Amino acid sequence: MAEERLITESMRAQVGRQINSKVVRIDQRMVDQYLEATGDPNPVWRDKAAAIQAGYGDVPVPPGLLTTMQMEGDSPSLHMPEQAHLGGAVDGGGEWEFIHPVYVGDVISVSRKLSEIKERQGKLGGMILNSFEVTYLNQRSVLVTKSRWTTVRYSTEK
Amino acid sequence: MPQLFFEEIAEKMELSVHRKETSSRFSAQWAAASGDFDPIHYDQAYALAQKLPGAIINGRLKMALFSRMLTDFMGPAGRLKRLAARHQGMDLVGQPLTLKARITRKYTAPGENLVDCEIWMEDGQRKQTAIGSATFSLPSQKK
Repeated sequence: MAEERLITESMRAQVGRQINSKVVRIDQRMVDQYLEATGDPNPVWRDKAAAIQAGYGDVPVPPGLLTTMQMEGDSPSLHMPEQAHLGGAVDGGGEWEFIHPVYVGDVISVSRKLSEIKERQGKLGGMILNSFEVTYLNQRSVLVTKSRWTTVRYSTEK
Repeated sequence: MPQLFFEEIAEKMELSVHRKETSSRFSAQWAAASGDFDPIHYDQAYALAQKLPGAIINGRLKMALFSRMLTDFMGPAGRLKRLAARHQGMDLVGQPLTLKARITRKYTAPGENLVDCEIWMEDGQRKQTAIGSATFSLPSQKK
């Protein structure tokens, strides 16, 4: 195992812990802004009759909206002060499972946990890879979505 | 919007290519829609100071564009079940994005007709900047 120089004991102590949580009420404005930004023309996201014809119980939220950072609160960097000195952060990607539909009006409780922390060398120099597990429960405590994703922290010092 | 049926799917089938032009305005619009106002996605000077090659496209925007490509392809009664991508390159704001997908497997599970595909994104130089996979379900024409 390579020597880890960026990861401290206080950073490692966060592994397995909830970093932050957020309760989000999905409203029509969120959906409209998302559809406008992505140019998504699908009538299912707008029209109740089209949604019901497609087998939904109501107008569903496009799954891509559930991947937006507003669902998780904000950047995890803001909740991890022990890495604040690194300065830079970029998205490494992740995986989302859409287990049940989410509808406009649903209240989603999102919980973000740090699941793993690793150190790598890359184009941006020494980097810390923080991996998260995120759960999305609706107002009936049903797990509707879950994700695993990674953010890359790096020093912005030149 | 046409509906795709499970019987119409074949392994190795390629989805229609999606191309998206990008701009600072587009990035700012995404910031407002997504709640992610990190200036690295729309402020060139700030991004350069962060050791980046310039303002870069938000990774979650790339996920959203993948999601749209797939739901467009499926039609209204399709369901996106899983979406995964690794960002292996940075897409500069102002450069076009090209999204592609290819079917890798079709199969049935209890009550569902499932399709797996590989997905990827290319920058203006046709370099892959994101690569991943997705799973979706489709209705059957058989009643």
